[in-house]
Amino acid sequence: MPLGSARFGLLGLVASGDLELIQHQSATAGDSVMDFSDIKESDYKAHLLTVTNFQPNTDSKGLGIRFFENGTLESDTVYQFGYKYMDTGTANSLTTSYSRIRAIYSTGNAAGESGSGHSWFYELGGSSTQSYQSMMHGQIHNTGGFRVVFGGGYMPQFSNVDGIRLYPISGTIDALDASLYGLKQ
Amino acid sequence: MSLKLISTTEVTQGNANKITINPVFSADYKVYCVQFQNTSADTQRENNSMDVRLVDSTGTEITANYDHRNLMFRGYTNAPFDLGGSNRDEIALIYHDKDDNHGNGNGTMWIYDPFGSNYTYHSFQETGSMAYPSSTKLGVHIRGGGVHKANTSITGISFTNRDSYDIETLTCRIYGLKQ
Repeated sequence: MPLGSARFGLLGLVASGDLELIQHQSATAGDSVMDFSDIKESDYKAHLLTVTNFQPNTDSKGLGIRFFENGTLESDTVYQFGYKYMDTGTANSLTTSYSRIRAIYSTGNAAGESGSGHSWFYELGGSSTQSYQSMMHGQIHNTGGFRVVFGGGYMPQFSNVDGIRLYPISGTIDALDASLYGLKQ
Repeated sequence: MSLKLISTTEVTQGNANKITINPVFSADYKVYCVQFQNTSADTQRENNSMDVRLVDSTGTEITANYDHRNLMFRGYTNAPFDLGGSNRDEIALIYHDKDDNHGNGNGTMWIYDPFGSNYTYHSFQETGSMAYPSSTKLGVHIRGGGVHKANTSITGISFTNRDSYDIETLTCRIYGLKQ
């Protein structure tokens, strides 16, 4: 095989990808939640969630994540996370008892203030697995400054997660565009 | 399939200080994955690096209104430190060195909605090797993100080595994430 064909073939393989779109949603201003209720958890070991241009209706509110376990929303303080955030300095946000993990930290809602980023989720499906998140995002917070946040979240109970809820910590959503993908194995 | 290869740029034995890939971002995708691999410079120095900048829809490289914040592991024996700041002239820094000194940069940027006329955010990870101090080789890892703070439609990206050194090697593949 000529070298050029070999390279083309390799690139073609890369181009085809194994990341499969499950669902894309755009919020309407005033929405209070965005639910992904058919995440095909038995088909994928890893999911990618992209979140673009999140802006809360109430200033300085973040975008939380909760899981559904066999259709029931888990809203108790069972979540744990460890995030590092960097703005004018560097700090840690750590908890072993919280009612959500985070997609986006507290974000401003003035013109130009928003947040965008992504989360990888691991082992959501299956009743014998715990559920994990790896997150990174950037945002403009309510003082107009830039902040970057990254880290991991965790729901330690063994349960089948079959849905993901995105919601502002309080108030409603002004803007949010999100897509959920499954990583084929 | 949702991850679509849009552009492949390969530099070998390069003789240019700047590599510009434009146009590559469009209304076809909201989210892009930029993978850079095997980057190096043609001249050795400590803290050798490339500036990453965005290109607007007129083809002009943007040299202002960037903030970026990162944790940088420069060598793996000391704690990481903060890298970046406000009102920079680059949106990210890729650390590497001369290729025959085994300096090398590899990583991924995720860029969110660059083509829309809004602020453009990215998240960034690099793992490679560099020299500090002088020509002492170290492993390097950088993790963070940045923003271009203007309501500008972005169509491209550029890489510029510091000190006007030429970029010796660079492979950049840009993917669109279908939605």
